[in-house]
Amino acid sequence: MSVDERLVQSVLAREVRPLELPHAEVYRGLVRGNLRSVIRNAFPVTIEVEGDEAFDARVEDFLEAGGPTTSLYRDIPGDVVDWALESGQPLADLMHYEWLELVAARHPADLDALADTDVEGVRLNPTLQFGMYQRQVHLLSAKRPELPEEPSPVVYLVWRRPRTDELAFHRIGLLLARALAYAQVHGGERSSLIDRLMDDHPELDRDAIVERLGETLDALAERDGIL
Amino acid sequence: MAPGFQVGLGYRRALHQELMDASKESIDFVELAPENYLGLGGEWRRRLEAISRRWPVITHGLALSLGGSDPLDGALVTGVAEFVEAVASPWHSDHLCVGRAHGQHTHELLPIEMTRARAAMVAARVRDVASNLNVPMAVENISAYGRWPSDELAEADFVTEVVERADCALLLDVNNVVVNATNFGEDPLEVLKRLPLERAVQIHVAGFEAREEGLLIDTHGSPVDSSVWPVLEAALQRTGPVPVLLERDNDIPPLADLLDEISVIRAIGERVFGASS
Repeated sequence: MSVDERLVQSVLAREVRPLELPHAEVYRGLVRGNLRSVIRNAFPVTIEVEGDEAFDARVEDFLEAGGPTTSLYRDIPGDVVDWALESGQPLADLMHYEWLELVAARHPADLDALADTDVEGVRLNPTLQFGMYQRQVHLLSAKRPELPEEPSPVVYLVWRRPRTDELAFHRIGLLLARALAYAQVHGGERSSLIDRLMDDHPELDRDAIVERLGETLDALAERDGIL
Repeated sequence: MAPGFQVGLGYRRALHQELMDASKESIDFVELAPENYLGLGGEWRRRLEAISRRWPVITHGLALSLGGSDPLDGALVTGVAEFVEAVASPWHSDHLCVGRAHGQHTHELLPIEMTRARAAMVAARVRDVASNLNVPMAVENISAYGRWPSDELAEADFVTEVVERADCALLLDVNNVVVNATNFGEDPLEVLKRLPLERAVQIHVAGFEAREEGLLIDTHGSPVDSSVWPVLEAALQRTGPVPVLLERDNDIPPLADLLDEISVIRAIGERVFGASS
């Protein structure tokens, strides 16, 4: 094992492993401090819900499980979310939702330019993120740390609005989410989205789908979820 | 950016509004890390555009792991190079440190084993990065709290070996010279004499924290210690007029406090280079 590898593994481990480098524990403290700082900044609601101590213990678990893999400091919270989901951590859904907000807020799309250009068909806001949860995660808070599970999964759409950079969200069912995910990749007219849904689910009532998809698209367009 | 003695501030999000409200003359340039902006839009891009309209930007990276043995991250190097060009930075710098090994990132500046072989390897990596840039590359001396028993070279000799082999510039962190000299029982002015200051294109100053066990930790979380100012002055006498940057990353005070420190740097520059500097 190289000197580099011993050093990195030592400072990422729960305890500093025997290492010939004097004051390795100082480095471990600095590494922990840096990682804790960027992670805590990304999950203010999760920390509010579960408290500092429980959250910090989970950060330690994350580091013990291998820590971040990204080369970008700012993307470390995304690694934490992946780990939380894979390992079934409590509040992983809320952490995922908070991460989606950050991803939408920082998305590189030039929304102001897009908002100033017209396009045929359904053009979803490129910052729009999809999250599927069994609870209404946006309602979780210190005062409401527990929520009942919904009968079926709820898909959250989260996006950034042009000019103000304000974040917005909208909740829909799985079927409409599938149509919107298709629209995000392929674009297309409203009618083609409906045709696609009907192809996949011929048992559905076309008129009802037209109405529900129309309501959703209108609601999104009103707040720049569609540009 | 015009050459010569100038004084800048490390750009931090927390300072954005105060900086935008401040007089343009209060600082000469800002420094920021490309890694904090690569591929970001929204308010991040708006802040970057606003700040770069007001002041020249110098880029200073964090994540290349120039001292590590993992392969360089090609996508990161390309992204950094594009960013450096976009903000018209006069050079790009990163640290002489290890930040990654076997795919694991620490996001902290860990010490390199200072051997001749490692110096040659680091120099090759610096050359590799530099070949992707359209401006010169500079490397920064880091603060350290431990030395590898297997070190063959003193830090000043290691830094010299790297910059000469890489034929690159030096970003001299004066605070790190003071921190390391204290931590390893050396005289900072003697260390300065052995560093290749003729290659310096920029200087950093910052605050440190003194721990009970006698270690100085480079926290960037307090005002510049009075022991650093004479070393800065001695450094400027050897480097000639280069830009000096005040770094403050933690416990960030009101901008007015930082501008007080910047006025100290300006006064030192005036003593060394004359009032016209």
